[in-house]
This record gives sequence, structure tokens and C-alpha cells, in this order.
Amino acid sequence: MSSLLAINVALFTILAITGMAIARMRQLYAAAMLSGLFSLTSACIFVLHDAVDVAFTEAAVGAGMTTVLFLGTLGLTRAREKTTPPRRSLPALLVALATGALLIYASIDLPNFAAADTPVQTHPLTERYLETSIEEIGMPNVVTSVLASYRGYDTFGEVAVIFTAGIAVLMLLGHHAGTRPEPQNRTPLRDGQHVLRVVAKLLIPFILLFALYVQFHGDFGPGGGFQAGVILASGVILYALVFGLGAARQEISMQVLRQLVAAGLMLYGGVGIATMLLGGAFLDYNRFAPSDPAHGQHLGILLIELGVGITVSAAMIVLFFCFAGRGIIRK
Amino acid sequence: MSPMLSPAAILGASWLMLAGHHTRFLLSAGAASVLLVAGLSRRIGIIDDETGHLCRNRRPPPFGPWISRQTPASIVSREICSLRTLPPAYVIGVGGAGLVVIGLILRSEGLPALLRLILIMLFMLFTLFTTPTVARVLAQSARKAGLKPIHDCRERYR
Repeated sequence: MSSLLAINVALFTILAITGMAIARMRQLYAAAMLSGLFSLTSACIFVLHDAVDVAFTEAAVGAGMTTVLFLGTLGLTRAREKTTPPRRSLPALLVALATGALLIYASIDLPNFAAADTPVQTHPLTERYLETSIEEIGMPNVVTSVLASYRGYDTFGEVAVIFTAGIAVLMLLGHHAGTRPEPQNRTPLRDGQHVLRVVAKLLIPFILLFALYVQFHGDFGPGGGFQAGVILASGVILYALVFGLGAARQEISMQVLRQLVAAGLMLYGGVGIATMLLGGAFLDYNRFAPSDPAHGQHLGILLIELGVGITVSAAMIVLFFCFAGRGIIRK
Repeated sequence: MSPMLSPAAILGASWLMLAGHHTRFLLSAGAASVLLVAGLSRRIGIIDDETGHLCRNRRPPPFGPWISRQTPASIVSREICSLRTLPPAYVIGVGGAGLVVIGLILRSEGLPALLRLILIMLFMLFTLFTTPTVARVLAQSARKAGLKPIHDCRERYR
């Protein structure tokens, strides 16, 4: 057994143990923290497989954003899972077993672990992306070239999905978010918890700066608009958790957030329309600088990544504000 | 000195430390980002007397050495307490499995040394956070099997 395989087995074992611990755990705060650990372990596996961008997204979304949203949700509900009666848990067990069996059946079609003759390795498109993208796009990070340029349509669709999610939540819950007072069970930490407050104050500027760093360095290394948007939103949500939802809403109004959710998508679409007006196809960035296509690609990708970052961060903050603003108190 | 200058200098240094590329565009983006974050932080009140004092203070906080000793000590004592709820054979099994994983990572010469170090640190962190849960599950099965724990000190930490 090679060492790499042994490490993969060890990490997958950790993943399985963490999953089982989450399933068995009744304390939901601990389960939320363990789910963050699950995401971090997954991110380690992605790093081992040289999928650094995916690892970054997993760490930002799974360990960062989702954990914060879980903790925010637990502030509204009880922190201990209700015990399900055995007769009601039987159908759930059957559904889980059937889903597991389906997944295992589907995994039979997957290629062998680290096989060299899979379509991912042998398809001519792989060679084209890896070898000619540096000349065509001029960016060291091939993932950004693929996501933002070669497959810019797909990414536009993904941003539209996030926009739709943000708008849907606004339509369903938006009337709660701007008008209700601070829920009584969410006490801001102004008068106590000095250590937590000071540590949050020290961390938030670095989180926001790191988000902007990831936004601007997506061309050169792992990162880009999606990750930057999520990290930025995590910083704002941390502020809301520590200093209160009211304080966060006061600084970032829902009106501005609504406009930003749309503005990011419009910036992305606007870049596409601009390239069409310049005589090219939709999202054909070469049209921005016909004499120096690589420069045009850089400019186009920078603008659309900015659009992605704006929509993702605004949508994530809107989701949190709307859900946290409901203020449901269960007894 | 402007009260915003010190945090801005720290943020600027962080940007330069992170960035491996120093093109004109990235440096301009960095300067704009630092000013934006410093201004925003001041506006929303997270750069104030409390954090400003920490930024200006060149000495480490006086409780730093104390807290850096106490935090690991409390975690380790909690770990030991969890393990003492198990029979000796289980402790040897759990410890042995952990050592085998660390050994496998250490012996994986195909990986860079830094990655191996990071993996070991992650494994140790994972162990620290999950030992109480794993120990609780194992202790339940041990009790069912009629095996005696080393010493049940759970009440102390309940």
C-alpha cells in the first residue's frame, strides 16, 4: 500500500468517524462544530488530490459559512436534538438505507481510485485547457481560466442561481428582516464577554482583508469571486453574531444588500453584453483589447469575478439577516 | 499619528506578506483594500479604544503566557479524563491506532515535509476535539461488556 493511499485511507477514516459522531450526537452546538471539522478534513482530501480551488471553496463554504449559519440558527432554536420515537425513526432509517444503497450502486460506475485511463485524464480537452490556456488566457491559475472564460456561461448560470436563492429568501422572509426589533434571545455582547468581543474586533478586519485578497488574487492562485464573497459574508455575519443583528443591519441596510445582489449579476451580464456591442460573442473578453487578447481576458475575468463576489457576499448576508431576523423562540 | 494609520499599516503588512505577486495592479488593489477595510472597521466601531490600545501596545498582553499555558492544559486534562473512563485495553487500542496513523503520515515520503507536518497537526487537532465523543461511545460499549474503567472522573467535568 503506497503512503499516499495510506494517508487517503486515514483521512477517509477520520471523515467516516466524524460523520458517525455527528449522527450520534444530540448536542447540536457540538454537532455544528464537528460538521466544520468534517468540511476541513474534506478540504485536506481535496488538497491531497491537487484540487486546491475546490479545497478552498469547501473550507470557506463548508467550514466557514455553513458553520456560522448553523450557529446562527441554533441561536433561534434549541441546542439539543429532540429524541425521535423508535416507530417514527424506522421510515427514516429505511430511506437512509435506500439512499445509501443507491449511492453505493452508483459508485460502482466510478473509475478506480487514481486510475490513469479515466476520461478526466485522457480527454483531449484536458490537454487543451492545461497546455494552451496560458497562451490564450495568460493566467497561471487554469481553474480561473476555465471557470471564468472557457465556461463563463456555466458560471453565469451559477451566479444566477445564487441570485435567485437570495431573491427567493427576500420575497419569503424579507419583510421580517428590516422591520422587526432585535429578537429577545439574541443578546449582543456589548456589556459582557470581553474576550470574545475583543477577539472578534481583532479578527474581522483581517477576514475582510483576506476576502479582498482572495478576490484580487484569483488569477494567480486558488480563490476568486465565490470564495471571496463567502469569506466577506462570514466576516459580516461574525459581526452580527457578536455585536447583534440590529447593529449589523444599521451598518448594512437591506436596501443596499438588495441592490448589491442584483448589481453583481448585472455586472456579469453587462460584461457579456459589452463584448457583444464590441462585435464579439457573449463573454468574448478578447474584444476588450483586440490587439492584446490576454489583456482583454484579464480585464473581463476581473470584472466578472467582481460581479460574482458582490452577488455571493450580498446573497449570503441577505440569507443570514432574513433567517436570523425571524426571531422564533421555541420552548 | 492618525488613529487609523496603525491598523492600516498592520493590514498593509498582512497584504504584502500574503501576496506572492507584486504587480502594479495588485499593489494598487491592496492599497485600496487596506484603506477600505480600515475605514469600514472604524465606521462600524471595531477599531476603537480597545483594539487601538492592542495595536499601539508593543508588548504582548500580560495574560498571554498564562492563557497559552492554561488552554492546552485544560484540553489535555479533559482528554485524560475522557480516556480514564475506558478500560486499559481500550486506551492501549485507541493510542496504538493514533500512533499508527501518525507513523503512516511520517513515513509517506512521496509527500512534502510541510504537508506531512500539516496533516499531523490536523490529526492531533481532530483527536483533541473528538476524543471525548469517541471515549463516550467506547465507554458505553465497555460498560455493556462488563469491563471496568480506569477511573470514572466524568462528574468533575460535567
